Amino acid sequence: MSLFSIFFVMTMTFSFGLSAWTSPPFLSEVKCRAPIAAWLESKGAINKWRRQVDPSPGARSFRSPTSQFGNWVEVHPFVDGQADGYLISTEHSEEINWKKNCVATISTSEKSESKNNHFTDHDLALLMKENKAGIIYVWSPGMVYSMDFYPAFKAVAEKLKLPLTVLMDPYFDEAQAKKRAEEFKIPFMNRRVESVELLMRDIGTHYPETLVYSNGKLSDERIVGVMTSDVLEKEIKSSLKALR
Amino acid sequence: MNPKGPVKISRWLFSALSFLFSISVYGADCSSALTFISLKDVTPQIYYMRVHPSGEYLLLSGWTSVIVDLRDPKHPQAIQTLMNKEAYPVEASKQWRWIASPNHSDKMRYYDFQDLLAKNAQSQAVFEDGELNQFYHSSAELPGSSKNKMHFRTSIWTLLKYRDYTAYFDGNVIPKKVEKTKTKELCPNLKNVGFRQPILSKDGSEIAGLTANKDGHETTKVFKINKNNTCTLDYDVGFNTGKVSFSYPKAGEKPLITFAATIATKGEKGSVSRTMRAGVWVFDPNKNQTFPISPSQEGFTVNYPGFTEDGRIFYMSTMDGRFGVTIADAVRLMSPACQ
Repeated sequence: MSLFSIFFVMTMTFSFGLSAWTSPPFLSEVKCRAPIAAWLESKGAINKWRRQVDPSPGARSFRSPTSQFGNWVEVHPFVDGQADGYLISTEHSEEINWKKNCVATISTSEKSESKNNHFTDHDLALLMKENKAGIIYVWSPGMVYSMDFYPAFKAVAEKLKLPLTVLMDPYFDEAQAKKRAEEFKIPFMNRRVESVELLMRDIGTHYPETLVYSNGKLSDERIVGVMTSDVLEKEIKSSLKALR
Repeated sequence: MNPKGPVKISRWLFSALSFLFSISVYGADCSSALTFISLKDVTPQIYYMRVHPSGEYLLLSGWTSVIVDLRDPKHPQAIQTLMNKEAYPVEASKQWRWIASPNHSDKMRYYDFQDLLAKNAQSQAVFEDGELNQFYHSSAELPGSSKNKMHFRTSIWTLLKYRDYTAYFDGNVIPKKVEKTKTKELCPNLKNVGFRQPILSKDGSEIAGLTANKDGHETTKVFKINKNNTCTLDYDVGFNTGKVSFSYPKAGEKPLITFAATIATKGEKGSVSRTMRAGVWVFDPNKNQTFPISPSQEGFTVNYPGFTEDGRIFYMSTMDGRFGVTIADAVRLMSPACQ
């Protein structure tokens, strides 16, 4: 065997060893799959794809976390072979568009400016580091039951001896939110969801939304809406079990 | 001088102007398919919304339930009622006859809609059920209703139960008699996959909701409700839509569904939450296609979309204190010119 052949075999073996990343199935019918796959791999997409709403007729959208906490990717393949990709993170966001000829244009937006009342991925990481397990409860001043049932959820968290972190709908007007909290006689808990990890799990479609974390991991599925305390307790325990 | 030069330029100019004109007409045409009505001075921003089949009224539910009269869109009027929060109409073509209001001393109270319009907060319940009562409910008239007979169904998410009713009328607001079936389990065959956020179709024959797939992710599915109360899958939308609202039945076609959802956009500086595009969408199961209805506006929340009988979609829209209802000409917005 020539020296070149040995080098070639070693290189291929090494490359395959490194390239455990596989192209997601939804790219099989996409024209620009090679550059899209390369971009996704470069962003560390971990192939836990979830289909989201179609951006336009015939188009699709898929979302996945990446190997970096707080970074997610989303891909929108269109019927004509074009595609859009998004990297969403607190540090910076990136939009990439692959045209019909598969040439990409990239635009980035600057780092998000975190405000005091923002709950970011940094806060989330810290929360999960400080507590072995816990519950995140997101309320909205626009959803009556998320205020009405706050005491019941708090009581369940206390019963289960789990810390409860209360966050607010990021879009609601501050003054109106304060007024609603007063009307419903609940504390004004106005830390707004600005965590990519939470937003990408579709927090915000039906408040209140409850998520459980344990052993440094965040539940993939939300506990949506309100329910009786015994059902809630069951749901929380089931989410915790899934995180073991 | 090349004599063809000015001709070429004028052709180029004509093409460019035509193109720009077509863009502006397209933009204007599609954007005029959306009308915003402010409700900021009418009711507080705290509501769940359903729209009347005519589009003339909204049922908003907050701490209590309020009807908004939109017949004069420039001057929307709030009609106060005695209904509790989370009142939900018994949905039907052309009209709402009754509105179901939960948790009045552990009873579901049903109010007559015309009586509510006439008497407002003086209007009293015309029927109540102490057995099937809870919020997160939905109701719809079933086929077989007539002027003197209202056949309807009420389902409740938290209990995963439903029952059918037949109310008989002899000209009075209060029914002569109301027959009830036994309270039944809702889709007991779906117990293993969970069943969340169920909403009845406008004729009560189908139910949409979220169930878990083998990979653990939930997607929205539409099921037919069988006579033995089990449910048979009609179709899987393929993604999670949250709560949906059905369009009105049309012969030979499956009803459309509308819902609010978010996808990524490039976003704005200063806010991760504003990299999400909140939008109203329509899924057409006849074409297996999804259509965006609301324009792309980051940070603008939209919710509770619902169809009128003529195919418009009303949805709640809010941003930075702006609060109101947007009326979308969905038929026009779903046309190829606007997609």
